[in-house]
Amino acid sequence: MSQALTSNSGTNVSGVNQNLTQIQQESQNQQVQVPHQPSMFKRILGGMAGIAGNMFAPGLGGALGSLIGGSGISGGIASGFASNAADLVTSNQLLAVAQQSNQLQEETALAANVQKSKHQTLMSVIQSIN
Amino acid sequence: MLKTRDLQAPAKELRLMLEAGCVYRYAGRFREARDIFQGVRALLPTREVADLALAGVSMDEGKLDEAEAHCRRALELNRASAAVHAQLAEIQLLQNNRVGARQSLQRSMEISPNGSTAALASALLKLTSMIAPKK
Repeated sequence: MSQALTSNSGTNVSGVNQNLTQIQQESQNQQVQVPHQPSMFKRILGGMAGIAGNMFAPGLGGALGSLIGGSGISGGIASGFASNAADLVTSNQLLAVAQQSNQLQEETALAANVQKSKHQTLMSVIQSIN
Repeated sequence: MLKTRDLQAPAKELRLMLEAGCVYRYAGRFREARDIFQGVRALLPTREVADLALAGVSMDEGKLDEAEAHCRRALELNRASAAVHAQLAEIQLLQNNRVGARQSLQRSMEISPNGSTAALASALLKLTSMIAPKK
């Protein structure tokens, strides 16, 4: 009876230990598979720092933001610079479009002014007939 | 009532005719506008206003040489008309004669430095500088 108990208890203990080691391995595997995610506060802070940085240094703001936001160091900087280069190109294109729009607006205003002045000039000549 | 060398015609009706001609011109009905302005020119042969209006119609029709001829005739009638100089400058701009246009505009601004004609001349001067080829 006692032998049976010991043998039973021995098999039970060894089974529990096996289960524990399996659980530990699984948890370790899960930790390896899921990368570390930065906290929400850190991500928001990183975004704000990126925007503020872009106002002063268009090339570096995004990299700083990604660094603070915790999106990695080596890959994060590389992807940050790549995205900043794309942002720079986009902002230059937007600037060109804005300049073109301003020029068009100025030309339209000038054309309207010319038409209005032409009409007023002709009307003043007509009204001068006495 | 206009009596000196012109036919006797009420000034009010002449002004009304000219305004009606302008309405026709703005509506793109150039034949009617031309008929009215030619009628006014017959009634007012010593005034430049009808030729100025006819120059505007010809310019809108794209007949730039004819428009310039009307302007020259108007200038023969009244050399000191700032409006005619400004109209001539616009025609010269369309003819791609920037130097002549600038001279006409300067003459117009000398004659009338203030008022609507001066505003037209300054706007056209600005347009001339915008059209000028960039170095």
